[in-house]
Amino acid sequence: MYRDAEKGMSEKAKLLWESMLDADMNARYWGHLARRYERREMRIKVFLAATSSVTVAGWVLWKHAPLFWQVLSGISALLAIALPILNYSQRIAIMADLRAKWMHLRVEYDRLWAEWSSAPEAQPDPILRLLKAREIEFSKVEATLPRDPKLIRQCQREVRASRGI
Amino acid sequence: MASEKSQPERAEQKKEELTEREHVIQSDKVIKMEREEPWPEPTPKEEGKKE
Repeated sequence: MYRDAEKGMSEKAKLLWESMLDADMNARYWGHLARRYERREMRIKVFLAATSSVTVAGWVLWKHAPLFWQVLSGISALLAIALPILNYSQRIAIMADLRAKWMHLRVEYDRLWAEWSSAPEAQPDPILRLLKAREIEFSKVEATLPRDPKLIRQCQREVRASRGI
Repeated sequence: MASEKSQPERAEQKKEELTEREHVIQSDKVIKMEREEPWPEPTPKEEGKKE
Protein backbone atom coordinates (compact mmCIF):
# COMPACT_ATOMS: atom_id res chain seq x y z
CA MET A 1 0.00 0.00 0.00
CA TYR A 2 2.72 2.41 1.08
CA ARG A 3 4.87 1.36 -1.86
CA ASP A 4 1.96 1.98 -4.24
CA ALA A 5 1.51 5.49 -2.84
CA GLU A 6 5.25 6.14 -3.09
CA LYS A 7 5.32 4.83 -6.65
CA GLY A 8 2.27 6.96 -7.55
CA MET A 9 3.91 10.10 -6.17
CA SER A 10 7.16 9.32 -7.90
CA GLU A 11 5.31 9.01 -11.22
CA LYS A 12 3.62 12.34 -10.56
CA ALA A 13 6.99 13.87 -9.72
CA LYS A 14 8.40 12.54 -12.98
CA LEU A 15 5.42 13.93 -14.90
CA LEU A 16 5.86 17.29 -13.18
CA TRP A 17 9.63 17.31 -13.82
CA GLU A 18 9.23 16.46 -17.52
CA SER A 19 6.34 18.89 -17.97
CA MET A 20 8.45 21.68 -16.46
CA LEU A 21 11.33 20.95 -18.87
CA ASP A 22 8.94 20.57 -21.83
CA ALA A 23 7.43 23.97 -21.01
CA ASP A 24 10.89 25.54 -20.90
CA MET A 25 11.79 23.87 -24.20
CA ASN A 26 8.54 24.98 -25.88
CA ALA A 27 8.97 28.60 -24.72
CA ARG A 28 12.45 28.63 -26.25
CA TYR A 29 11.33 26.81 -29.42
CA TRP A 30 8.52 29.23 -30.29
CA GLY A 31 10.75 32.19 -29.42
CA HIS A 32 13.55 31.01 -31.72
CA LEU A 33 11.10 30.18 -34.49
CA ALA A 34 9.38 33.57 -34.26
CA ARG A 35 12.76 35.32 -34.50
CA ARG A 36 13.78 33.12 -37.47
CA TYR A 37 10.58 33.99 -39.34
CA GLU A 38 10.95 37.68 -38.50
CA ARG A 39 14.45 37.64 -40.01
CA ARG A 40 13.19 35.77 -43.06
CA GLU A 41 10.33 38.21 -43.63
CA MET A 42 12.67 41.16 -43.17
CA ARG A 43 15.14 39.78 -45.73
CA ILE A 44 12.38 39.24 -48.30
CA LYS A 45 11.01 42.75 -47.77
CA VAL A 46 14.45 44.30 -48.06
CA PHE A 47 15.13 42.24 -51.20
CA LEU A 48 11.82 43.34 -52.73
CA ALA A 49 12.47 46.99 -51.91
CA ALA A 50 16.03 46.76 -53.22
CA THR A 51 15.14 44.91 -56.44
CA SER A 52 12.23 47.19 -57.28
CA SER A 53 14.42 50.27 -57.02
CA VAL A 54 17.50 48.65 -58.57
CA THR A 55 15.46 47.24 -61.45
CA VAL A 56 14.15 50.68 -62.30
CA ALA A 57 17.63 52.15 -61.97
CA GLY A 58 18.99 49.25 -64.00
CA TRP A 59 16.80 49.92 -67.05
CA VAL A 60 19.80 51.52 -68.72
CA LEU A 61 21.89 48.46 -67.85
CA TRP A 62 19.40 45.95 -69.31
CA LYS A 63 21.15 46.01 -72.62
CA HIS A 64 24.49 45.06 -70.97
CA ALA A 65 23.24 42.15 -68.87
CA PRO A 66 19.63 41.49 -69.83
CA LEU A 67 19.52 37.92 -68.47
CA PHE A 68 20.66 39.00 -64.99
CA TRP A 69 17.99 41.71 -64.75
CA GLN A 70 15.32 39.40 -66.11
CA VAL A 71 16.15 36.75 -63.50
CA LEU A 72 16.28 39.34 -60.74
CA SER A 73 12.94 40.87 -61.63
CA GLY A 74 11.46 37.37 -62.06
CA ILE A 75 12.53 36.35 -58.54
CA SER A 76 11.28 39.65 -57.20
CA ALA A 77 7.87 39.19 -58.84
CA LEU A 78 7.58 35.61 -57.51
CA LEU A 79 8.47 36.70 -53.98
CA ALA A 80 5.98 39.56 -54.13
CA ILE A 81 3.27 37.03 -55.01
CA ALA A 82 4.44 34.45 -52.44
CA LEU A 83 4.77 36.81 -49.47
CA PRO A 84 1.03 37.27 -48.81
CA ILE A 85 0.47 33.53 -49.34
CA LEU A 86 3.23 32.58 -46.89
CA ASN A 87 1.58 34.97 -44.43
CA TYR A 88 4.69 35.34 -42.28
CA SER A 89 3.22 38.18 -40.23
CA GLN A 90 0.34 36.06 -38.97
CA ARG A 91 2.59 33.08 -38.30
CA ILE A 92 5.01 35.26 -36.34
CA ALA A 93 2.12 36.61 -34.26
CA ILE A 94 0.92 33.05 -33.47
CA MET A 95 4.46 31.95 -32.53
CA ALA A 96 5.00 34.98 -30.30
CA ASP A 97 1.68 34.29 -28.60
CA LEU A 98 2.62 30.63 -28.07
CA ARG A 99 5.96 31.69 -26.61
CA ALA A 100 4.25 34.01 -24.12
CA LYS A 101 1.78 31.31 -23.07
CA TRP A 102 4.53 28.71 -22.67
CA MET A 103 6.57 31.13 -20.58
CA HIS A 104 3.57 31.53 -18.31
CA LEU A 105 3.19 27.74 -18.09
CA ARG A 106 6.92 27.39 -17.38
CA VAL A 107 6.63 29.77 -14.44
CA GLU A 108 3.68 27.77 -13.09
CA TYR A 109 5.49 24.44 -13.49
CA ASP A 110 8.63 25.86 -11.86
CA ARG A 111 6.55 27.12 -8.97
CA LEU A 112 4.77 23.78 -8.63
CA TRP A 113 8.07 21.89 -8.70
CA ALA A 114 9.56 24.19 -6.04
CA GLU A 115 6.48 23.77 -3.85
CA TRP A 116 6.49 20.02 -4.26
CA SER A 117 10.27 19.79 -3.66
CA SER A 118 9.94 21.59 -0.33
CA ALA A 119 6.79 19.71 0.72
CA PRO A 120 6.52 16.33 -1.07
CA GLU A 121 3.43 15.41 0.97
CA ALA A 122 1.50 18.21 -0.75
CA GLN A 123 -0.51 16.99 -3.71
CA PRO A 124 0.18 18.98 -6.89
CA ASP A 125 -2.77 17.25 -8.61
CA PRO A 126 -5.32 20.05 -9.14
CA ILE A 127 -2.88 22.59 -10.59
CA LEU A 128 -0.91 19.96 -12.52
CA ARG A 129 -4.11 18.61 -14.04
CA LEU A 130 -5.17 22.10 -15.13
CA LEU A 131 -1.77 22.85 -16.62
CA LYS A 132 -1.67 19.57 -18.53
CA ALA A 133 -5.22 20.16 -19.80
CA ARG A 134 -4.06 23.31 -21.61
CA GLU A 135 -1.54 21.42 -23.76
CA ILE A 136 -2.49 20.14 -27.21
CA GLU A 137 -0.14 17.76 -28.97
CA PHE A 138 1.28 19.27 -32.15
CA SER A 139 0.33 16.11 -34.08
CA LYS A 140 -3.34 16.74 -33.24
CA VAL A 141 -3.35 20.25 -34.65
CA GLU A 142 -3.71 21.27 -38.25
CA ALA A 143 -0.04 21.66 -39.11
CA THR A 144 0.26 25.26 -40.30
CA LEU A 145 3.27 25.76 -38.06
CA PRO A 146 6.64 24.16 -38.74
CA ARG A 147 8.16 21.34 -36.73
CA ASP A 148 11.94 21.55 -36.74
CA PRO A 149 13.55 18.54 -34.99
CA LYS A 150 17.01 20.15 -35.12
CA LEU A 151 15.75 23.28 -33.37
CA ILE A 152 13.92 21.15 -30.78
CA ARG A 153 17.19 19.36 -29.97
CA GLN A 154 18.96 22.72 -29.73
CA CYS A 155 16.29 23.99 -27.31
CA GLN A 156 16.63 20.81 -25.24
CA ARG A 157 20.39 21.43 -24.98
CA GLU A 158 19.70 25.03 -23.91
CA VAL A 159 17.27 23.86 -21.22
CA ARG A 160 19.79 21.33 -19.88
CA ALA A 161 22.58 23.92 -19.89
CA SER A 162 20.52 26.63 -18.19
CA ARG A 163 19.38 24.25 -15.45
CA GLY A 164 22.69 22.45 -15.08
CA ILE A 165 21.24 19.00 -15.74
CA MET B 1 -0.13 34.91 19.47
CA ALA B 2 -2.84 36.91 17.74
CA SER B 3 -1.08 36.79 14.36
CA GLU B 4 -0.93 32.99 14.29
CA LYS B 5 -3.65 31.40 12.23
CA SER B 6 -5.55 28.32 13.26
CA GLN B 7 -5.54 25.13 11.20
CA PRO B 8 -8.97 25.76 9.57
CA GLU B 9 -8.00 29.35 8.75
CA ARG B 10 -4.79 28.19 7.06
CA ALA B 11 -6.71 25.52 5.15
CA GLU B 12 -9.24 28.13 4.04
CA GLN B 13 -6.46 30.50 2.93
CA LYS B 14 -4.74 27.68 1.02
CA LYS B 15 -8.04 26.82 -0.68
CA GLU B 16 -8.54 30.45 -1.70
CA GLU B 17 -5.00 30.64 -3.10
CA LEU B 18 -5.59 27.45 -5.05
CA THR B 19 -8.86 28.72 -6.50
CA GLU B 20 -7.15 31.96 -7.52
CA ARG B 21 -4.32 30.08 -9.23
CA GLU B 22 -6.77 27.75 -10.98
CA HIS B 23 -8.63 30.80 -12.25
CA VAL B 24 -5.41 32.34 -13.58
CA ILE B 25 -4.25 29.11 -15.24
CA GLN B 26 -7.53 28.41 -17.00
CA SER B 27 -6.83 30.09 -20.30
CA ASP B 28 -6.37 29.31 -23.99
CA LYS B 29 -4.86 26.05 -25.14
CA VAL B 30 -1.24 25.91 -26.24
CA ILE B 31 0.35 23.82 -28.98
CA LYS B 32 2.95 21.51 -27.54
CA MET B 33 6.01 20.45 -29.50
CA GLU B 34 7.11 16.97 -28.46
CA ARG B 35 10.69 16.55 -27.29
CA GLU B 36 13.18 14.75 -29.55
CA GLU B 37 15.29 13.23 -26.77
CA PRO B 38 14.30 11.97 -23.32
CA TRP B 39 14.94 14.30 -20.39
CA PRO B 40 17.48 13.28 -17.76
CA GLU B 41 16.20 12.24 -14.35
CA PRO B 42 16.20 14.93 -11.64
CA THR B 43 19.74 15.51 -10.37
CA PRO B 44 20.75 14.30 -6.86
CA LYS B 45 20.50 17.94 -5.76
CA GLU B 46 16.89 18.15 -6.93
CA GLU B 47 16.06 14.77 -5.43
CA GLY B 48 17.71 15.82 -2.17
CA LYS B 49 15.18 18.62 -1.84
CA LYS B 50 12.38 16.07 -1.71
CA GLU B 51 13.74 14.29 1.34
